[in-house]
Amino acid sequence: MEKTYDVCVIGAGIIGLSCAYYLAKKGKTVAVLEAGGFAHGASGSCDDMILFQSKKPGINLELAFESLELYRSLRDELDSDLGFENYGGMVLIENRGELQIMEQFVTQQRNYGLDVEILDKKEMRRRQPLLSERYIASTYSPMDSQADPFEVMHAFSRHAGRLGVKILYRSPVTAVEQKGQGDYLIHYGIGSSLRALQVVNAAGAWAGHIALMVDENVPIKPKRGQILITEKIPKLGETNLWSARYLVTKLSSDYVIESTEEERQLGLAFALTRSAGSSYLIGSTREFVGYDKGTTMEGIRAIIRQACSTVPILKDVHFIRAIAGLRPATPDGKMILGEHSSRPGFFTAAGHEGDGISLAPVTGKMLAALVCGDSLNAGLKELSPDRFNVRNMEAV
Amino acid sequence: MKDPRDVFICRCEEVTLREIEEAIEEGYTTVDDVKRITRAGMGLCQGRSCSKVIARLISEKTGIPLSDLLQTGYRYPVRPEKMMVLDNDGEGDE
Amino acid sequence: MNRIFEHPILGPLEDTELVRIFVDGEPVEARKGEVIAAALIATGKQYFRKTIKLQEPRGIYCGIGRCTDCVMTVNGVPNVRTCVTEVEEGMVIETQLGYGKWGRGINS
Repeated sequence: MEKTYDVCVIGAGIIGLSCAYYLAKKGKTVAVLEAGGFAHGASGSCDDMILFQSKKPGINLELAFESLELYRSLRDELDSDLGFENYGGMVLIENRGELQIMEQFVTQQRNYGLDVEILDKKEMRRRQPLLSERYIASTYSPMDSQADPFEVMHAFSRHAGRLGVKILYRSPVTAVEQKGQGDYLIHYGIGSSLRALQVVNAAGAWAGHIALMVDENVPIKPKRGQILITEKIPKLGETNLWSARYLVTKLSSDYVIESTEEERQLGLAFALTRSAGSSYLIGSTREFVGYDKGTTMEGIRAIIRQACSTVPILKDVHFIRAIAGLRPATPDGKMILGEHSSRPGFFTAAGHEGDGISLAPVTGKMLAALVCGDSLNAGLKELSPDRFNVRNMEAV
Repeated sequence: MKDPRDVFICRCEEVTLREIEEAIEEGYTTVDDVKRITRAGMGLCQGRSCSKVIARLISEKTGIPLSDLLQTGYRYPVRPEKMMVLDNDGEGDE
Repeated sequence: MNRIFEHPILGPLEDTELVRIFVDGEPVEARKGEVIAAALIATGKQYFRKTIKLQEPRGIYCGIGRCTDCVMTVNGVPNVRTCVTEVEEGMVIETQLGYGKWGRGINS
């Protein structure tokens, strides 16, 4: 007779562990099944960011605000500083065309409550003297922050464990059977299984496969991001850095940027962020290559070229490792959060693309509320998994 | 008298034997798991000095065969490279 | 001086050109073609750097360029492995404290 849990969470990435923790806080008995080892998915190969400036006003930005607040209280709850840092961020602007688009975007963000402004070249260089001469302006927001994903996940695990949560690593889920109302049998590993009243699909890039096991459609595609890690060096200027070049193509679909064919294919977007270990993470690509987590010479070279032309001093810095993570990307850029109407008791919490670290706390908290039947903000309907299931779509 | 468990296993990240043993006792039983929990192996030498020792510690504590613990993939670069080595278009401006 | 001028198996130390390097501001005579670490050990230098977390002294460990314990700041660039890097005339070598200082413009 298998043990029955209130909830089985599939996936022990930062999302799964956050869900498990908040569920246990609400008194649920929880088992977490992870296919790989600790931090094996995107959570272990990412850039630590709690980024506000890249988010369009709307639900993503709103959730980011909430999540930041939760991070602050989690530091006490979980008895750990979580590697939290608040360096602020600057998005670097190269020409008047980008400047125009970014000015509009910044206005929208400010109206939504984000503390962000445009800096002129002089002020930009005061905060970041190491920049290449060709940047004419930048944005600046003091809100952009970061946390150490490994520390966050370790802290969630420790405290979830104390609340009775069982986390099983190297236990890939092979089948999910619904035996009856509120009765799921989850098969994992070789010949093992456990029962749960409810299931949470937090399998990130693999959430689509898990959903398929219960005939549900969760259209998440893996989007590979290659990142370079440098040796530990002193801080480069005040804030973390991004380039506007890629961001403006998302904000204004008819804006054409100058980029090489290779940069286009790699979906290259420059990001320079300080890691919890005092090295720099330089990224990153956006590639659809299935589940291939490999790093490539083309990717690494392109990242280096961009890095050295943005902050020339990087030419003398050693890079010590290249990593790649598979971001779980949804068709509409919003996470999937909620119960599947045609499969009661089965929830999905996945599809955060590049915002997993930012939104983990608020996702876990909301998911726990949903699982317990608490009514939530009606606005969260736009995150429901039902939006991808044609037979369930009401007027959206 | 210094506690023998304060000896460094990972010299680059200054991770002690004690910290590694605690991670193993918590249930993190692969070299990769221990690396992510303690940072041992993330430093400048990328685990060249410590990962085999960590594998042996895990094997001794858990009984998992050493051969199961030693298969890890390798990532470029093999040793630290200056970025300029690959920035050969000379695009960077001063 | 810690140099071995007469080795029981390798024989006498050959005469060779000397180069002048600077170690923490002091001029040091080194033999052309030798690695920085050898030149430093010859002067009796005790430690090459202090670690980031606990500020503990480190010198040579593996000596073959693998462990990165022996790194120092050379010509303004930190994290240079002194056991596999040859001396050059006029080289500026500094004991590295933690991350080191960048002679090329990064605030330390």
